[in-house]
Amino acid sequence: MDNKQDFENHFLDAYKQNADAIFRYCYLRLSDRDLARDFTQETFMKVWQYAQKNGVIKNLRAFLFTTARNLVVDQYRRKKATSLDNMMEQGFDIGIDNRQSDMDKIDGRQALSFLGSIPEKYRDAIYMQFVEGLSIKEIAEVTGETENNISVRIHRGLQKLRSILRDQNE
Amino acid sequence: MNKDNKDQDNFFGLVEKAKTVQLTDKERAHVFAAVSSYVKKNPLSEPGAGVMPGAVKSPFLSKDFWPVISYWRIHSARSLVAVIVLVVIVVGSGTSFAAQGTLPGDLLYPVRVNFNEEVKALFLSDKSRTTYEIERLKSRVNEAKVLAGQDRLSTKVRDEVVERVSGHLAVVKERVEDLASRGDLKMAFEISNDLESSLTASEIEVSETQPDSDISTDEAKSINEIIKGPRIASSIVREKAEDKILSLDDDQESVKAIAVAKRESVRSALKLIKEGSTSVSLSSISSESEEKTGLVEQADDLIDVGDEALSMGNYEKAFAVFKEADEAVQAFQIEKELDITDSFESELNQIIIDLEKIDAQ
Repeated sequence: MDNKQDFENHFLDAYKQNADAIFRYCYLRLSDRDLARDFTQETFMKVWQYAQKNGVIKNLRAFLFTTARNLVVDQYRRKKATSLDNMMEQGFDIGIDNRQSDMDKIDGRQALSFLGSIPEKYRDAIYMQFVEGLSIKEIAEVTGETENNISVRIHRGLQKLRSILRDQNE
Repeated sequence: MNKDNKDQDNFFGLVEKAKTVQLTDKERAHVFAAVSSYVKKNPLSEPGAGVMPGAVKSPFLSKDFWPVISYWRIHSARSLVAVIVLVVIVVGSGTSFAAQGTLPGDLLYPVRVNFNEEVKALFLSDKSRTTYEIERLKSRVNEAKVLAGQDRLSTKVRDEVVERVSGHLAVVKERVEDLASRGDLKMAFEISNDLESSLTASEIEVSETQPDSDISTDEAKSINEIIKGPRIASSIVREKAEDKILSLDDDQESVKAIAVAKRESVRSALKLIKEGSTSVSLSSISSESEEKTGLVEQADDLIDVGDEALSMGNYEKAFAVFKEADEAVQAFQIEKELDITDSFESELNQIIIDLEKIDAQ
């Protein structure tokens, strides 16, 4: 089996392993389920386009997040995303995995809402590290920031989130 | 349970809940079908394409192979001819032609930069070669912008762009220093000033990237990081040429040239400030503090004084006055940046203190 077939198989495996993560990230940023699903599809297609133009991809997972992030940034510039809070008020169903309980459905939405309420510059770093398990180095690669900056953003983002959580619980 | 432990539990609880947000089975299958269909319809074109770490690459894809041309060009013209003939035979003229229009990361890009462009440079005079190197440097910057628009400006590719830009800059600097040492200070100044102006204009253009552009804010910052080093380096070379010109008493034409260039530079910066350019982080000059507005007025007044000195043929004085105007503009820009960074710095200091406390525990 040659390199082309190997890479094709690897790429499709990467879809199975990362589709939910990319969807979740797009949903966190866009607050629109249909759009998040479309962006997930677009992310994988764009990455394949890149590979097709003979680009070398060393870390496919980080590259997927980089591409998704760039698509989301472009979308932000095109139109302002509806806040997740507004979506929740309208009773929008974000389609939690059917295997989860009703209690988890509610908590899942609230969880994303809390994470989405962190200021944007900290949100990606916090989300990518704690929800998706990317390393500091990978997050730096995705965002184009230095590793030191990412560490500072995570620390500061956690402080912000702590104050949000305390306000919510009081 | 104390507050910190409770916060931590709450946070990790939220993280676990957030992970439950997923595609439904139907959605996952639908997207997979679309992606795999796309993959089948658009197969990879080259055996090495998309290669993952550990795979064996052709030595011709190694950038270590190509710089041999640059080395031989400097050290032995005869050997260079032999290398070029060998490369053409081995690679083929078809490859060279196919390399045109490629970008960093493309398979034939090294052929374009290390062979096509180098061969073209061989036949240029020293003066034309310098201009050509500046054009090559600007091409590298433009390629970075195109890559950013195509979501292809990874850290690795950016580092390669920076390396190539540095290479072109080194050739320009060598040429300028050679001109200066041979007494052609005016040409030395003009080359370094032109380069600095081009790079400054590129920086401003990228900083003012429109919202509907293909380039994101982060990408614009990344591109400007590529431009910044050469811009600063060219400004240092330009200043050296200015100092040398001023130290001589008998080259009034050169003094006039540097005075006029300084005036144009200050005028451009003032125009941007008054128009509320985003590159100088301004909303409106009228909303600025009296102190900062005063700096702009001071620069305007100094330009008038400098213009008068120019018209009277007092070029040294004109240059000195325009330089003072430039310093006023820079003071304005620094004041502006300090307003933005003051609050950031105090937050950062607090975080450093917090981190030290955690380390100490």
